Amino acid sequence: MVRKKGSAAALLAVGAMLLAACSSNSATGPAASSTAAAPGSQAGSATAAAASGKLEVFSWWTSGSENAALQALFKATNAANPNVDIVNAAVAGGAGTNAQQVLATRLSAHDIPTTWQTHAGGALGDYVKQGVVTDLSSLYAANGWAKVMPKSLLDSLTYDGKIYAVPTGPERNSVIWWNKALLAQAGVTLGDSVSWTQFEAAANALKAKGITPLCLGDQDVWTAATLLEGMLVGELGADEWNGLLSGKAKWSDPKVIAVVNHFDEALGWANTDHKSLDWTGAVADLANGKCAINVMGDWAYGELVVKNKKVDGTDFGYSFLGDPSTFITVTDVFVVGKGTKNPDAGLAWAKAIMQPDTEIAFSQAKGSVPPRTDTPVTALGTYQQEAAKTFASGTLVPSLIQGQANIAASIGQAFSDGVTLLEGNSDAAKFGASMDAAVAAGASG
Amino acid sequence: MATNTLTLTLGAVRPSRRRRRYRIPAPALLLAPSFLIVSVFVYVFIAYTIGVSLSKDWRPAKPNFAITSPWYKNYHSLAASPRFQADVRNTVILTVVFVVGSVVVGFLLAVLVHNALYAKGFFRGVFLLPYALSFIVTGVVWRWLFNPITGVNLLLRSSGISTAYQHLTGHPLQPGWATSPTVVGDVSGLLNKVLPGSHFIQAQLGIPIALLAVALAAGWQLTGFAMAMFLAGLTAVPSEVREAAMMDGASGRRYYLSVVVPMLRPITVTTAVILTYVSLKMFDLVFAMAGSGIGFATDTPGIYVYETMFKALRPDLASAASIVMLVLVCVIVVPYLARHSRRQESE
Repeated sequence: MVRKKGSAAALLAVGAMLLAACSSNSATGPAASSTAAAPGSQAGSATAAAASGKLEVFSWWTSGSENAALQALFKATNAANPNVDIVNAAVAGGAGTNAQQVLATRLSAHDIPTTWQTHAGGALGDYVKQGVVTDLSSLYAANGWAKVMPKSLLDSLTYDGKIYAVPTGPERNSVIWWNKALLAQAGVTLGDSVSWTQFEAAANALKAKGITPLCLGDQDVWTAATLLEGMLVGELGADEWNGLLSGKAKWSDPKVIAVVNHFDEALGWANTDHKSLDWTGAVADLANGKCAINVMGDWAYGELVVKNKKVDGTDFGYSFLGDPSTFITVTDVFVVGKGTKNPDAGLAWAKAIMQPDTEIAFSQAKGSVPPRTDTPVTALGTYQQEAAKTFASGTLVPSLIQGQANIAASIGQAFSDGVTLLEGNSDAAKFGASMDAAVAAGASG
Repeated sequence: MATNTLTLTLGAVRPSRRRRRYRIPAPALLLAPSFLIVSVFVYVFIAYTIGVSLSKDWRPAKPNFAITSPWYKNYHSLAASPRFQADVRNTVILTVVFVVGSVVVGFLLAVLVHNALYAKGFFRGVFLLPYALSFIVTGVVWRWLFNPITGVNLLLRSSGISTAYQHLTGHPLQPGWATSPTVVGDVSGLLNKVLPGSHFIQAQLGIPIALLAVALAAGWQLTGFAMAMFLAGLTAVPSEVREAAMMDGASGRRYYLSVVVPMLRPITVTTAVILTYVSLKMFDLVFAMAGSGIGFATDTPGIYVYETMFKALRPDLASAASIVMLVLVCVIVVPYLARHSRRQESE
């Protein structure tokens, strides 16, 4: 009996150890976030003098092109403020979700970074509500930035009449990219603007030739939601889309339900392995001629040209769902922390980001367009120049799936959850009802 | 008995009757730091999370514990969410399939290895090896294996099984594995007829095929652990027991079923409980292998909490979901611990 008791105790001990091992999910911390007090610059009234001290930049830009773009911002800041010591506190992964995790912890401890990256829209609004971001209105007024930025973009940075962030490089969501050779093979031509009827006809013509019409990589559901977002904006128009976001229009409206049903039909055109590919896989499939059409933000352009070595106009082309002058914006912005140790450095950072030269250097690395419409864009690529033109003169609408609308972030999550359910049950009415409920809950919360 | 109640003496050195009053029992002193740390970092934080789960507008930098009205509002919206309903369904199914599978296969492997005539250590190592991997590694490997185009389906095609299946049924055998949207044995429709008010349940109450693929990957990783547990138990069975059984004319199978299995019951329970809370907390494997899946076929409460907290920016809902997870774990663990301590006292 003694022996049995001993072995049972040993087993329990082993079990406890294993339990501890199993439960230790690897938590990734920020790359560098020492919290030593920043020296100097307590006198916040330094008017024209360059800032100095520590500038901690918190972002989720870690990949090749992202890091290059971030370095361009660092370079510009240091050129104007040689005594600023920049600390890159980037956290990789999850399109910002992992960074959000670290940031939330730091904010709750009131260990506020000098500046951090966020989405224009709901996420920014959340920080404004918590009172952790600096009002930059006077900086905007002093430099006349508001006059050279599209109103819609400015609106997404404004809460209660105050502007809280500086934009880096807007990108365009839900562009139709197509493989030129495959379209030619099926005898399909797509113009600048593509209606649902044309989209459907093209897909059927491709299918008749045995070509997979749609390239999709929705291992993460946002890519499928990108397609639905493009279809909603394209088929319903910018005004109706804004109405859906603000709650003025209903998601359960038959017009919306019809588009959702179109989306459901379009999912049937996708490659069979779409759930085990990510967006880069889908773009690679398009480049390699495995499927013909991909709907993705214009970061796919860089992926096609740089990574897959394809030539714009020869190997691939692009179109837009609906009105080609409607630009679905995705903009990462930077805020200056309120209660941070070195706010002057944060303001210097914001100022450096908004210089036309910085914007060009940033856009060249990132593939985006300058947020200031008075920035000369001749140094950018052909696609970017055209996008910049549309950005300056077209109709801008915020992307919901990329969290750009000035509404609760939970509505964006409801959109993505709704698409996940749609993929399973194809129930457009249920989708509409759940979105209406989410918009109502988001407005009250 | 007096030997194991070690005491520390504080204060007066002079021997006197009063000295006893200043004696603090060493066990209490030794346990105090860990007790303090555990109570702060476990129980205080659990209480804090409960507070957040009941709050209306709690934010990391603005902790406001004002309570929602009604107080259970967040729990209600959680229960009404089709996603969380699917998560609970997935947790139950994953737990049953994965735990039963791992325990049964683990026991069979243990019997085989225990009776191996040679290379016992080698086989033990082979079966235990997957357990040494991280769930992320397992998830990535199985995602590749279960890719509908390039994974094991390639094997099905090249071996001719797929074509043979096509001759029989008219379509090739190319399962979607972890990407399958199919939910088999959906009883929601039946439930709607029998149970009034069951329209509240919006998730399909069946077995998502994709989840079985996840259970297989999880089982692959942890069966070796179950085997190791049983192997330890088998080694501890005295050889007299076997001899006695043989004398009574028991066959090999009868010996295992009627003698060994009942004797190993404590080990079976321990293994099952450990595996159950691995399953209840499942996050990394699913995250790396399948994500939320089509129609949340492979979503777990862990993924829900993560996305609700850091993407939807709803700490209140995420905390409510965490508390539900905690309750689920407690339902399994508390009876086990209670039973265990009762048995220890009786011994």
